[in-house]
Amino acid sequence: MNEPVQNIDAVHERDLEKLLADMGKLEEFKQGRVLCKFCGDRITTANIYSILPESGSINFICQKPECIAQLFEHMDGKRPQ
Amino acid sequence: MWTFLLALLLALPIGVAVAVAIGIVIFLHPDHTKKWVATIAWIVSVFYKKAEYLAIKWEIEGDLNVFVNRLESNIIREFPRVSIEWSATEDSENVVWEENRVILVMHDRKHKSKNVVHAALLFTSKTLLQNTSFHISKTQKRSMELFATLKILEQERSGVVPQFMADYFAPQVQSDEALKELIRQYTVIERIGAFFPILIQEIHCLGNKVFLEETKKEKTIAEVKGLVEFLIEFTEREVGDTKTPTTFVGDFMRCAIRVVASRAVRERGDVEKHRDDIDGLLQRSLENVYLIGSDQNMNRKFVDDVVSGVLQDFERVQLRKTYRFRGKIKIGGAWREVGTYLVHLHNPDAEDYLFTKDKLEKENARP
Repeated sequence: MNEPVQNIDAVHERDLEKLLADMGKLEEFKQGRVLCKFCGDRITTANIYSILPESGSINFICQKPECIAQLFEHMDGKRPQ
Repeated sequence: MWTFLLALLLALPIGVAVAVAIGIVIFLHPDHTKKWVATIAWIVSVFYKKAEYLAIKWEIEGDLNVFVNRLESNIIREFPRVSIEWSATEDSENVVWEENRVILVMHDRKHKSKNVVHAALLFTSKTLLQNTSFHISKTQKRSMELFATLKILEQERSGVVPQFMADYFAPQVQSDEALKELIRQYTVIERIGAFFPILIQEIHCLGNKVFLEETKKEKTIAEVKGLVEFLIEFTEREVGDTKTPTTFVGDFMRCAIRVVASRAVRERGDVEKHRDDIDGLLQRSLENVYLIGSDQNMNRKFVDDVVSGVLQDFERVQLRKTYRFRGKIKIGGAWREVGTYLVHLHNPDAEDYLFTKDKLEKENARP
């Protein structure tokens, strides 16, 4: 019963505003100025896949398959999740 | 122990006995229990929104951890159990997030299939195929992520497969011929049940290895391609085929696969040839050696005789797993269902993670 555990950090879409407010990104998000790190599309509650705080900035990734694949490539070599 | 437990249950009042029986099931199968509780929590969430947190968390943890349990019964690696941690919730004042940690956004009940698909994709990439981008090509990694995720979802949550196919698998694979070809190859390999026990296991190990001094990526890409082609040739071989190569050696993956399936050799009882060849592979400090062949009684006994001989020659080598899969091979041009027998030998003295150029050349130059 002592298996190692891998935490997956998650936020429910209902709590997204609370998290974004803490990150200082809520106003940008509400104004539609938050873009996908990889494809540049506008991020909305409906198309968001994940958030990646990195090097002092907050990155957003949309649900497009190619953007998710690029995120995984990008994450390889960073600290294990 | 079971007789004692049964006697104990019979001696108890019915309500207590049922509660104890449920407790035992929960204790023995915590991840299956999570899946069931998640189903109930989704129903409750129609009236009580906060139940969605439990439903999402336990549905994903149940699905992925049941898969990990199943996977570990087929391979020697151990993988971590998944735990969903909420960065922010309605009830909590605390908001928690860290640099370089992906935060998945979970959606409400209308899109709950997406939650499982998104978490399965992340698990495949970050756990099963962790750090493999250093050694395999983007197309190789993406194809393995897609195929492995498909297999996870097929086994644990088949209801979300159509969504995964429509949103992720088909759009990527249909438009990319290289990806399509690799997926075709994995489908062939999976026919004999070797996708996770050999291919993913070895690629996972490769991700943890560091080759110093030189960039070896083009060589490791070629080696992984070679492993896939070898497994396909084995899968598609005709009975009686003696032209297909019988041994694959992964210089970077530090593994070897030996086919032990020749009827002529088996009927001669020629254990020594295989034994000597496998001894030679183990002398090259290969970490894992797989013996693979037909699951027919005669062949299985022959493989076991070879393994016994090898284990006598190398006291430190361990017989880690034997597997029996249902598979298909060609007989007279037609596919026939047969079993596959796979034996996994592990050499703990050869476990290593840092490789200099000299060290690799020295190991690979051995007979």
